[in-house]
Amino acid sequence: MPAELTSLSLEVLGRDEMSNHSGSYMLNSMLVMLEREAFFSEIGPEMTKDFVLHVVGLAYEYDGNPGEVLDGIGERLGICYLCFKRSDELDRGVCASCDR
Amino acid sequence: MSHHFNSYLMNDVLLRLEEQSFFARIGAERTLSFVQEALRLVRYHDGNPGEALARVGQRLGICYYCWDRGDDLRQGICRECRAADSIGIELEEAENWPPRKTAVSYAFIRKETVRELLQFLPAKFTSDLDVGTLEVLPGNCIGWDVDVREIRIDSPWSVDYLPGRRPRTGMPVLMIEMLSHPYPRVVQRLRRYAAMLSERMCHGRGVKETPPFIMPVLLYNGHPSWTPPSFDEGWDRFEYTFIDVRRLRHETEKSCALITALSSPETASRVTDLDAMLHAARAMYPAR
Repeated sequence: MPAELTSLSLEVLGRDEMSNHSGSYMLNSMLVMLEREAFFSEIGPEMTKDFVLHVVGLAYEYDGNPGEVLDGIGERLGICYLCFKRSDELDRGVCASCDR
Repeated sequence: MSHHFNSYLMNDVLLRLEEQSFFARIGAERTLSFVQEALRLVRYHDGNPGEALARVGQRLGICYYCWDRGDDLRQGICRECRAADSIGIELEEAENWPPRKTAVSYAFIRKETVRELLQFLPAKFTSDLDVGTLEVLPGNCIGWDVDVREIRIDSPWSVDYLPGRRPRTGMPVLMIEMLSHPYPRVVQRLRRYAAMLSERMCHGRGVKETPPFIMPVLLYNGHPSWTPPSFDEGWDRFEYTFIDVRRLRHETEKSCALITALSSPETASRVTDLDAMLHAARAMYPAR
């Protein structure tokens, strides 16, 4: 292929192409919807954590960013924003050991 | 149309919620409004709501076509939608046809597949092309709507003209888009993507640079057979090639092994089946 054509190739944009940000925020919205529907209060804290960790696993599987999935809601659901471990003592979404 | 990951991501979440009896707990009416909100979310994030309803829609009694509660759902489609002449529904095939668009999308990162596809495009587009120069373009994100909503195209390919046959157009770019469920506004979306791709490729270039020659191809492998609606005057200058893979399999003598494989119900249905699908594709195309 001539050089001038190659040079027109679609440039990789300034974001990490491997991270599916929109999928992460879609899951985040879904968690907010489920919280609004009282799903988490109905199933209790332990099953809530199981469910949220499953969703975080899906985010990994689909190239998402698990931190974005928990953005603003992780603390209420008992999952640390950084290490994704269960914890009932979170400060601004981060557990004590991550905070240290 | 482009963010298949998001469609299947939502599908997995809905399946998990079903497994946890969430829908049984909240009842039919709240289920309907909840699922409709989830589907709007999928559409907002550029996914395909039909894919998000795969398997679960039929069980919840929600039609993937009109997103409403419907009677006598077959293959996830309600009776009213099946009866709509405008979408040409055919229901002669087996029930539970699996969605498989994501795996199919991956097939089109393969040069051999795209080379095969070219034979089904109008000769006016392809007769001057040198298929040996096909190259996949790096990256498929062509921009964002708002905030984090990425717009991605499925499979962009560049190809050069044959020596001495180069017309006065920019670089030919094959923009392959996959569709697994009927979507009435697909042509508007295709047109928007073509414009965004062209603009993206010209970004930072001089105004005298010839923009790329975008050849949009819409590959539909869903069920039932379907044709996108045509537009009145004002849209007719936008040209694209529409291929219904399954119809092609029945109607053309030019059918080839991979196209047949893509349209068979045994074909991989999920992104996680990709390995099996690529294994099958490799078997069809022995290493040279």
